[in-house]
Amino acid sequence: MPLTDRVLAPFRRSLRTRLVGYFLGLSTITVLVVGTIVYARATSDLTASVYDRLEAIAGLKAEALDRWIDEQSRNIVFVGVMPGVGDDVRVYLDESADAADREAAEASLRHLLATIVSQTADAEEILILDLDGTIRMSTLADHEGQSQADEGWFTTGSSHTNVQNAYRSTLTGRPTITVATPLFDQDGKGRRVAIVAANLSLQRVDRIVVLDRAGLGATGRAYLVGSDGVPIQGTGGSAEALRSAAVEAIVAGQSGRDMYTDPNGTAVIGVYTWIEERNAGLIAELSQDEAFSSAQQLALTIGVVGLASALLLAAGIWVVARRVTRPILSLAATASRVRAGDLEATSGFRSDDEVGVLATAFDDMTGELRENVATLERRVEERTGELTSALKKLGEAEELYRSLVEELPLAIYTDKPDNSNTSTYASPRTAEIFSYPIARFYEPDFFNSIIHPDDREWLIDSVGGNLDRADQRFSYEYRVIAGDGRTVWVRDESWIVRDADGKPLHIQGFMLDITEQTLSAAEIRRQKAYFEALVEVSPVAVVTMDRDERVSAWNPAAMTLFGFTPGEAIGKSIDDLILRSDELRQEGHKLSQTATEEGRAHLISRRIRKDGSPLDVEILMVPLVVDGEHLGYYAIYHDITELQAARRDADAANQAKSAFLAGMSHEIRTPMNAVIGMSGLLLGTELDEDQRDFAESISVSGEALLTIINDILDFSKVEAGRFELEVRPFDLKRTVEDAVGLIRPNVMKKGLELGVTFEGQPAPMLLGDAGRIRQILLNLLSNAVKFTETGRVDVTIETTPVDGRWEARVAVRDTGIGITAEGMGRLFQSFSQADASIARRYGGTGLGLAISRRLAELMGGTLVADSAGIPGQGSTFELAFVADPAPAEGAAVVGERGRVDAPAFAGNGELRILLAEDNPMNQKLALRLLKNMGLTADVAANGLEAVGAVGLSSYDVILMDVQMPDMDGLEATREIRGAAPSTRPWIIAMTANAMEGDREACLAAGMDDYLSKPIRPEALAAALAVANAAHQ
Amino acid sequence: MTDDARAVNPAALERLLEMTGGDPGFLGELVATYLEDAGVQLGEMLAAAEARSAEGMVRPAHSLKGNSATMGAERLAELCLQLESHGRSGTVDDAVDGVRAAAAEFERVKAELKRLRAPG
Repeated sequence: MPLTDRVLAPFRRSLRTRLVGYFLGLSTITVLVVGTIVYARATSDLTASVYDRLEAIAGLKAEALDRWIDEQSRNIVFVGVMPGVGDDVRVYLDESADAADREAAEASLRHLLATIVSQTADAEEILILDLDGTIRMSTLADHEGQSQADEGWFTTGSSHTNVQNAYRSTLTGRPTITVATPLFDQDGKGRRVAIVAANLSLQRVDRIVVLDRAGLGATGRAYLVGSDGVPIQGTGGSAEALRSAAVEAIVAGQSGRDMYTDPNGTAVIGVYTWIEERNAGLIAELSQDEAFSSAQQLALTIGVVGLASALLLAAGIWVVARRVTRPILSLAATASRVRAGDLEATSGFRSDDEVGVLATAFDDMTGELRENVATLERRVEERTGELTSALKKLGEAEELYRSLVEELPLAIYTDKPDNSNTSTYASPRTAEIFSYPIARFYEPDFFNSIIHPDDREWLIDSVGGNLDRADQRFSYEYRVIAGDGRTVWVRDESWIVRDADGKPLHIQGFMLDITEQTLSAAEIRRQKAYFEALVEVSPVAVVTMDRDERVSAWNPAAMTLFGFTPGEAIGKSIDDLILRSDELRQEGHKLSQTATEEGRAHLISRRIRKDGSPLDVEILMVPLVVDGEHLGYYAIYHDITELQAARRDADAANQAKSAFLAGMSHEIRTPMNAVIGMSGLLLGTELDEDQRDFAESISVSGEALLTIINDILDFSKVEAGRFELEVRPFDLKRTVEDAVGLIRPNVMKKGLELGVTFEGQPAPMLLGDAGRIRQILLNLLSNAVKFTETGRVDVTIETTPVDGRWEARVAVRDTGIGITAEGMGRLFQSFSQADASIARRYGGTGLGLAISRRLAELMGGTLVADSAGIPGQGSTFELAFVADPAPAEGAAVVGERGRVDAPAFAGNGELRILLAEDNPMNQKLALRLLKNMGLTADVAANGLEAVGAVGLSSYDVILMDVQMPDMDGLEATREIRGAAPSTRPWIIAMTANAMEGDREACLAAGMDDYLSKPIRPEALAAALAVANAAHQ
Repeated sequence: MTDDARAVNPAALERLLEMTGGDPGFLGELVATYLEDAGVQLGEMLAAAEARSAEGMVRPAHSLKGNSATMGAERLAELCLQLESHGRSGTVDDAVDGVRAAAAEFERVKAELKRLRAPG
């Protein structure tokens, strides 16, 4: 550190010193600047005033001098004009005059001159000169006889009065002022006789100029200087020319003011005035010291007062700074104490200012610290307590574990980390198990020597090998020859304790005496092998699986059947072997689930061979349960390929038969519809009675035939499994009433009575196939009417709510011929009637009840008959089923297909119809039929045109041919439904295909109804009526 | 179908007439349309048979079948049904003969229709 820095360091450090230092420096500079400025301003003001004063003084003195000289001139002139003086002088000078006269004149003159000189101190000498310039009389006698002819005053004075200013007199050699005037005789009126002159005393000049010091202060002076620079003064003074700036200016004939050094070397401020008439300059000077002393005084005063004030303030600041820094230092000291560990230290300083806040915060912090330390100490104490208690518990636990280890019936050991099996610890039980003293196990290689010779080598190798393996745990079973000669089977569980680098430290483990278990296990193994052999030789494919359906056994027969060897199969999931399709897997899981739940599962299905070919099998599966534990499954597979093939053939034949039947029925039904339709039309025309009878006969027969055909069609559909229910909301009461209403004319015709009774709680709208229920009821009712000659037919409907559903029972009771017990047996069989004679007598296919029962079953219901078999007591048929209530909003959606009797459209004729039909003839036909109903239609020749037309205008109904070129009706419907779901035309399919599947396809595509071709006017009218209803 | 003697069942025509409102003029129009379309359909069927296009066979055979049935041309409808079935099952290799038979039958139908229409 440089010296200066070291010296300054404390000052730099001390805030107080710095504060005072800065302040002092600043105020000193301020005082100096102010003093200097004031001094300069005062000096400048003073200079002007001193000049003014000196000029005033110089002016006064010059005036006084003029006045004095004028007075002296007048005095001399007065002498010249005094009576008699001129005459006396003439006499005195006239040498030719009487001497006495001359003497008298001389005496008078002398006396006069002496009187003048003595009376006036101003003249040193009065002279009378003759006209030649010679001094003829003087108050200073030694000057008489000398010539002054060369002097200026004489020359001038010869003609008129004049003053010769300050010149150096040739008589005295001193500066002199001489006044001269001519002297005339005859009392001044005569001729000029002489010149009278007076040399004036410079004492008087001195008094005016030098000695009168008014306004010149202590050091000021005024003096006259001649044009040669020599001072003009009466007494003293040198004859030498003076040297100063003022004198030089005077010599040069100039006036002015200046500051300069006077001839004595003093700095002065002076004014010099050249006075031409006196041929001299007047200089008035004042020493600068005196002139400016007041300014200096002022500056000094300011400096002193300023510095004094600054010092006073600095002292104040010093005191204040001390007050401010003291608490900070005190805080610092407290902080040092706290740092040194004295947590009780507080600054104790309180005030409301910033430092006070700091001090308070600091004290708070210290307090907090104190509390924290206290808390910490308390916790340490607690932890120490806990630790002590934990150590105590640890000791107890160690004792617990040690006793456990020693009491366990195990040979617990810690071995050296090599294959010598030398223990560093062996639990006491080791000795008991092996019948050797415990100390023996600490001997190197002892344990190896008692291992059974057959096990020794592999075990030593394994133990050696384990040291390098990452496995955590090893388990061996081997034999040891005990001290008493027993062969002891042990299970040895061990693990290797390693250090952080993985280097083995110990081998730890325990040995369990498993001699007994081992021997019984061997027995179990023998039995297991026996049973396994049984499975092996079984000619039936046997597979066992664990609970996850992983194969655990796969016998040779299974290999033969499926192609997988036991090696390929065992351990694999059965799913990946013979169930290699999602469908089969699901079925397989269901099978095992059934086996688990019911204890047995039986299934005829197919499985897949290794080569991918399917195999028909009969499967029997049972769960394997041992001691209540479900271990897996046991499955037997039996090849039934041939059996299945035969069965499939039979099924196919049956299905073909059904399809044929359905097709046939359809083929018959189409012309039948025509027959019925035609006869209906015929009845609408004007006929005579016979014709009407014939036509009605045709109509009735046609209806009867159609019923039979429909029965056959329904039955074949049911048989072929193609029958589907249309589940919709319906009103049971109305459905029953419909059916009753349909049969009522027949009842009336036979003269029977008909009663309908509703019992139980009225049901709301239900979900079900109303059409099928009506079909069943119609069948029952028509049977009842058919087999009852007299009496009545009663229908009873009972509806009961059961658990949120509705149970419905509809019973039809008649008083007919009844059914014998034998007839009951055949009652519901297809193509059979209670009695062969019945067929002849009553007609019918015998399919009605069979179909009705199938339909009832299809609905989840029952149809039962009851009869005493006594004619007249009749029989009772009861349909029972359970239905869900319909959701409220669905109730009104679907109206039942109305029975339209006339081939005329019953609507209001405002239906907008689009006919989509490619076949020109069919177009014409359909348009004609519509026209006959009072309707018109736009025509589209294919699906594309239909879609386009729907885009252009909106239609209520679209009659859509299904089979059209470019875009068929199904696709067109999907397009229309997809494009404009909001405007929803009612789309009616028209197709020549009449199978159920076509209808489904049409509905699935979004169509609403379905018409078979060729189109019958009645059917079309009915469909349009429905469409109109839907449209409304 | 059993009446081989007559190519057109007059009853069918009668029914058609009634069904469409008993307007003989319209029936004549319908018959004309049928005859016109049938020529086209037979042409298409022949082309499909020669090209052995099962797909091409189905549509014209189906249409002609339906139209013929409506017209009471039962024999022709039968022949067309067979051809349609062949088309659907993909066995149109020997369909040319079938189409020729249908064409021959059509000539009969045409003659018969003209004969039937003439007096009525």
